[in-house]
Amino acid sequence: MADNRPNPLLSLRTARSRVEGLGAAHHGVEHWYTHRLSAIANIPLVISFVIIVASIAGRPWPEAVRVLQNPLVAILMGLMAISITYHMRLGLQTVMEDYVHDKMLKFAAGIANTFFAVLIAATCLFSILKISFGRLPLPPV
Amino acid sequence: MADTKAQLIRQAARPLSPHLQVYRWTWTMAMSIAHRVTGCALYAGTVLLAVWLLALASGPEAYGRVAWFFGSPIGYLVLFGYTWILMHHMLGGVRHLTWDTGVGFEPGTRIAMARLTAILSPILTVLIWVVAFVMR
Repeated sequence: MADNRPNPLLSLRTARSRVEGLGAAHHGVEHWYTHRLSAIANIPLVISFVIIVASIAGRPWPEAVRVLQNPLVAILMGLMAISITYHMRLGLQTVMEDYVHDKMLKFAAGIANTFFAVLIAATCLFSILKISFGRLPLPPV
Repeated sequence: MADTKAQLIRQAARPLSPHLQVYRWTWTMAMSIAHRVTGCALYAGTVLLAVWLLALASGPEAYGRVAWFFGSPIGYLVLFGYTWILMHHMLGGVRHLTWDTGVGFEPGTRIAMARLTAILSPILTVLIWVVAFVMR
């Protein structure tokens, strides 16, 4: 997103206030909007995820793999992994901003939050792609 | 004199946000808190999704171990709880999205919408599990 902070030469904020980086970063609307956007995307993706998992549950490995190898299932699962990890990162950020008051702890928690969300997304996407393209040793049908 | 007064004001034990203890519990408040709690639970629960997919991608032995856990009584409890939490957060999300458009803030509607989240989420959860068992 473009840096839309007011021009520091024209702003009435003091130099110290700007250096400390406290106060509005003017990126709040993006956070609010993308959180809602991913929430809307999550609804159909999570519903399809529940249907996919319910239809796989209890099946042996080769059958479960074949379900996930279906292109539609793989695409829905991949989109779901991206959408939910993006959404949950924004959500936990809000919770941490509300309850973590120590500055360094808040800083560290923010980094950990992003790392966790990316790790989950990468693991899910790698697995979905490997199931689809990985030539898994399936028994002949 | 002025200094000591300012100090006294600063030192006074004032309630800090969100100071839940001073409010009478309401449906909207309870469901708002539940939305946060379920969101955090789902956040942690994505580990289960990642492990399940990774096991599927790794082979029959790895999948067998994960499937064994999810098929155990504890696994069923975790999955059932996860379904409920997911449905609760999804219905709560729809409620908040509705409110974001400025609709549904009338006193009766507001409370009814919050109640609906609590009532519909277990019903949806049981429905999903019944359908899943029937399909097998």
